[in-house]
Amino acid sequence: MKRRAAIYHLDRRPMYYGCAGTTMAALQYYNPKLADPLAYYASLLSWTFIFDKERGMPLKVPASQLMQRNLQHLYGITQDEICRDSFDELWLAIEDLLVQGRVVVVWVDANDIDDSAFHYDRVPGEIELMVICGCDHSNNTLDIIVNPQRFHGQIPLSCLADILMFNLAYDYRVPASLVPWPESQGKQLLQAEILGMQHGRTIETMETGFSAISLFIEEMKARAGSSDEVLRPWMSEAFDQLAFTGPQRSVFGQTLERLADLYGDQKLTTIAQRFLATAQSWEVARNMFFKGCKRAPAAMLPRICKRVEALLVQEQEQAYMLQTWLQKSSDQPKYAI
Amino acid sequence: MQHYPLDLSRYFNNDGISFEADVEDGDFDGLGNTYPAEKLPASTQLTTLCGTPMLFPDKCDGAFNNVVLEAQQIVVSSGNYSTLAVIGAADSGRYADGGYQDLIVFSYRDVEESETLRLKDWICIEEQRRGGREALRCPYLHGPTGRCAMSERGYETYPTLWYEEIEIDESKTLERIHLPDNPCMHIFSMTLTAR
Repeated sequence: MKRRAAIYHLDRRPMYYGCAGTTMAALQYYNPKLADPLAYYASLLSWTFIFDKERGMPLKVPASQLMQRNLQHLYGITQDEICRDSFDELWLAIEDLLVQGRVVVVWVDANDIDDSAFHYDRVPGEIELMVICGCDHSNNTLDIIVNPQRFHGQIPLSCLADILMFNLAYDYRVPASLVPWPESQGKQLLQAEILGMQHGRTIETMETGFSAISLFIEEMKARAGSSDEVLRPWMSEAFDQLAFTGPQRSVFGQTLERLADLYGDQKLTTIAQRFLATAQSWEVARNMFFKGCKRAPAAMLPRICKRVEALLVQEQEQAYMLQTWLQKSSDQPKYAI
Repeated sequence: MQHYPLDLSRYFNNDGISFEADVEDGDFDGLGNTYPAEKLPASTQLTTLCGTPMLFPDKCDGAFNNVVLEAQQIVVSSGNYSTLAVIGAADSGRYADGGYQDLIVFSYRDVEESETLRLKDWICIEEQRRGGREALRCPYLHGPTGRCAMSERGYETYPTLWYEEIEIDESKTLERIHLPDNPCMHIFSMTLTAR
């Protein structure tokens, strides 16, 4: 492994979901219907909160796993992960797939080679998914598509080892026919997210759902009164760990907003707007950790706690509203496939 | 229309403006960045922005010149007003759809009512600027090492002060304005208007 994959952002999309945006763009190679914004948001339809009791710390949401779960549930998209110890072994596996007429998807860091070899309009510092769709042995070149720039061209085979982030490739299996919002599966997914938040789960030292938010609040109350020096590192890590809490709710709200448009349902629009407001408020809470670290951690902590308490109540209300909407709409599918 | 620019100087708690001669003065966003003083209206002068006379803060080095919202209560001259005009901006709002909103509470003689205060991010990207009323747009910001017109991601950054107008129930006598506890939102100037 060369280095950890950095998370980056695309215009108009929160940082964490940048990698999801590239994944969806790469998957459009297999099925253009995945270019539908509804498919993008549906693939990211998740609503979580995780708290590690042992560390007394909220945890970043593993969105890539949630996305893979959603892709499989909504569209039947599966992936085979091809992981090898060395590049040579990986290349043999990739070549084998190309010979079979398949394509492979790999994470690349295009900054490792100069522009003359790899001259699409890339954004500095970004790491991307690249579709390898052919190999010309006579010229020692690879046919590639790099998304989201849609650069379709060739690169020297010799540079692949340099630009690969990992000795890892994906062989996706995407159905030829799919709908951007498969209503029944989508509603099942929404239902699962609500129940997941309401009932929560305990996984080793981790708690999920509303009970996890309650534990976070308790943790803040327990730490109230600690000195600035003691609080600063904890608050700094909390700032980092909450990075995707707001964006996740933002994407959730945007999905609901798009569904509301699809269904022409004003009630769902209202619920969607509440999720978007909650997303913003989580971002404020997160930034309060940052600002608290900079200035007066001990003075800031009770203020953050108050905001998160309000957020818990708001999220519980949203769960109830969404549950009610699902129950009322479950008998009447309105979206024609 | 009668305008009543408010003197917020006693509430100022952040220095978000610097001159090019000392870009290290101030810290608007917690990262050491500031608005360029040279591109802003004159200090402590009434300036008409979006049609409303606003009292612009003192830009001098070392002085606080904006209110980071921390649940302050702004006491106003009791009266019947129709609107509150706000000049401000959010920081860290680019990943929150371009800004923040929170509840501002108007405390009338007998009752309290809340309204939504929306402030867009000071350097939100072009698409996020839609729907906002620009009071001022600067061609660059002051970073800790000097002028900066491009973010590290390659986006153009035009630090902006936004104009927001909130309706007030003019049949009631306003006495105080309660700001929300949202340290991502900054107010530089406020003006009450009575018909």
